[in-house]
Amino acid sequence: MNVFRSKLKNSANLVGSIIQGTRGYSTAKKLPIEWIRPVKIPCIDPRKSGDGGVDFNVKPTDFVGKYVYSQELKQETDENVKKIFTVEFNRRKEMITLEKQKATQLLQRHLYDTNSMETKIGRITVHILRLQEIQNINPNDKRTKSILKEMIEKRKKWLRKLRMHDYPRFEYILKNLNLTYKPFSQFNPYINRKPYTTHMLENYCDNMIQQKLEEYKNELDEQKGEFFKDKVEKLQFIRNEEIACGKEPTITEEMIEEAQKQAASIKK
Amino acid sequence: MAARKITSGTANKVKYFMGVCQPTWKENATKVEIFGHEYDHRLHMFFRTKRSVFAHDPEKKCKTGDTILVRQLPQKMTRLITHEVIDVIYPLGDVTDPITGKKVAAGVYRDEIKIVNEAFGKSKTGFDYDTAPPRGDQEGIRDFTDKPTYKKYHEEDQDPHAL
Repeated sequence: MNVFRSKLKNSANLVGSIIQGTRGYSTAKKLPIEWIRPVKIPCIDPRKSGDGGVDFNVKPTDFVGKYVYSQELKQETDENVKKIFTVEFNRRKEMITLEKQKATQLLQRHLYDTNSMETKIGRITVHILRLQEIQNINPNDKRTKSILKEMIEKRKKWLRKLRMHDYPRFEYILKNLNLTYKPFSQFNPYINRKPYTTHMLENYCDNMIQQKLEEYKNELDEQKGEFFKDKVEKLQFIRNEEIACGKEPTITEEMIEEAQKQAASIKK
Repeated sequence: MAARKITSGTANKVKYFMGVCQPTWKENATKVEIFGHEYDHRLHMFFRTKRSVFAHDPEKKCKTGDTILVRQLPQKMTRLITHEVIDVIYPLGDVTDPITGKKVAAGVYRDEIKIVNEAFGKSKTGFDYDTAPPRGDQEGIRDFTDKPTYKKYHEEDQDPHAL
């Protein structure tokens, strides 16, 4: 293992020396790995904030606000009157409030619960999801961007504290709101081409070593069956010869049985 | 800071330590942060110190954030692994009140929450402590606290722990 490693590490050093000698990007293209600079993702992006999106099943024909509970509207026969109070013919804000209501209904502990941490996080995620839509349409809108950033950070703070206090509830929220939680990394290094190409080459070499070792292991495993067959035959031959010559046999029957068992186990 | 370590007395004989479990890439071991105090003889004050060790844990008893008890091994297992995990003392996010022995959720007893829920009409989709799965249900799916996160350095890196 160490011999393999040293040989391949030397090859990696050679490649490194080639880069150092020429310092051109054209030489780097000859390597088996090509380093591509990662594109910076903004903090308000759902990939960074961890929003997977939730479907609260709000239809355009649903009633808005307090009119959900109105019985007079249900009895109303004229459809044009009904349309005035639906999601389709109202402000966007009304739809968001309806979604927030549905989020609280999904996550609340009891029927009058509106202030628990689950419901708070549910409402804030609805707001974040809707603001992210606006941000996609108007990327230069600085006001919504700052509001979004503050909200995402606040939610992350709540989740961090909830994880410490009550882990099962934290996981319940992640599952129901389709969120991902990633803690901050300990280090924040400056990303360059040269150190990370060498790092990636090292990984490449390590993987190559592992692959070769596994292939060699499989080869040896395939030879095991024939080897144990030979072993059983040879042990029996030696034992018979020793008995025929009138000597005490050095090989016991238990040893032969063990070899037979090993041969049988490999066949399976 | 001119600090002098206390080397006499019982300090050398201590073999059991309590520490906090940290995320690691190692499979059969955990990283443990052990906190202590160091006395400064000039200022006549104690200062907080922190050191991290690797503890052998093949059964994976502990998870990140747990407060655990570790024991120093008589001999080094590997270059890094010098300790051994004995037991989990305080699991993260599963607090018990030491006086009453009841389970607590952020300053409130869980039994009290249950009573309030039943009094006001318990919701069907709401969170319930009795039916909730144990910790590790969302590990590696939505919760990425089990292993350390790092800054993404390559565009084609598909690891979810890369930020």
